[in-house]
Amino acid sequence: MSSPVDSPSDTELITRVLLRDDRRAFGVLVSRHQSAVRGLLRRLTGGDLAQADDLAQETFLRAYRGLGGYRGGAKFSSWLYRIACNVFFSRDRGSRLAAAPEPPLLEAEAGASDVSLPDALLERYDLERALASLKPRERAALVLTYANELTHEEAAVILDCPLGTLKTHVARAKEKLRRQLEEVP
Amino acid sequence: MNGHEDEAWLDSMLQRRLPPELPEDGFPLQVLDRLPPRERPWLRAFLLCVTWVVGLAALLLLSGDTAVGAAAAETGNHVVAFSLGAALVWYVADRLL
Repeated sequence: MSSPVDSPSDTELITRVLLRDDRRAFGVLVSRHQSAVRGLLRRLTGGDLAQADDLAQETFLRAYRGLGGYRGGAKFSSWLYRIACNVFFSRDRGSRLAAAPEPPLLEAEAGASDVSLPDALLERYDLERALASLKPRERAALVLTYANELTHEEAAVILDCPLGTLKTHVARAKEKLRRQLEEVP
Repeated sequence: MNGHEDEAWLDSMLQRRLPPELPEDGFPLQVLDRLPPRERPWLRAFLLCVTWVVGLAALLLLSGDTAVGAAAAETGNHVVAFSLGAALVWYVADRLL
């Protein structure tokens, strides 16, 4: 395993890609950030693994094509999150009429269907369902600020909206979640 | 549950959703496979030059040994043939590069 000393920074890798079209360097960037991007998209798609990975691939392809536009002011991961959210929003607009994504089957996670499910898992299932009913921007605001633990300012930059709007999205989403989860028997 | 407990419960539930680090599962390779083909501007420029030189040489050789009157008409035919040939070469080069 390489030590932090000999592992190049994101900026060095980006420079290599831009100057020499170094695809190995881009591969390292993908390896380094794939977990965060795929994790974010899994949460945004309500746990739809196939769709999330498809969107994640699209995210990295757009990042590759637009790498020259990365100015280095924000963290590279934040720039990727921004692309991922845009990919998710554009896909969501395309499939607005499709049914809301179903959360993944609980049985698959619990191991067997006859095993009693722990409360935490049931809570998560309810939460996934409630999250899936939110508007895409509300869901993204909530996921970025809670699950990805970004500040409101960072999330506002990623979603390209004023800070006040972001806070409104978060508050409204939490209110909707609270109401929905209260209705769960 | 009062308002504060309610809020804290929702916050803790949302934060608990952080998944562990996802394994790569060949994901980077899938992305690299979908990248557009490399651009090779120098090779393309070289091929363009070669195409023009070969085409021009062929044009001069073919029209060099004909009479002046007929040369103009034949040169026109050769220019058309040269253009079509150059387009074909460029189509093949574009597919291969």
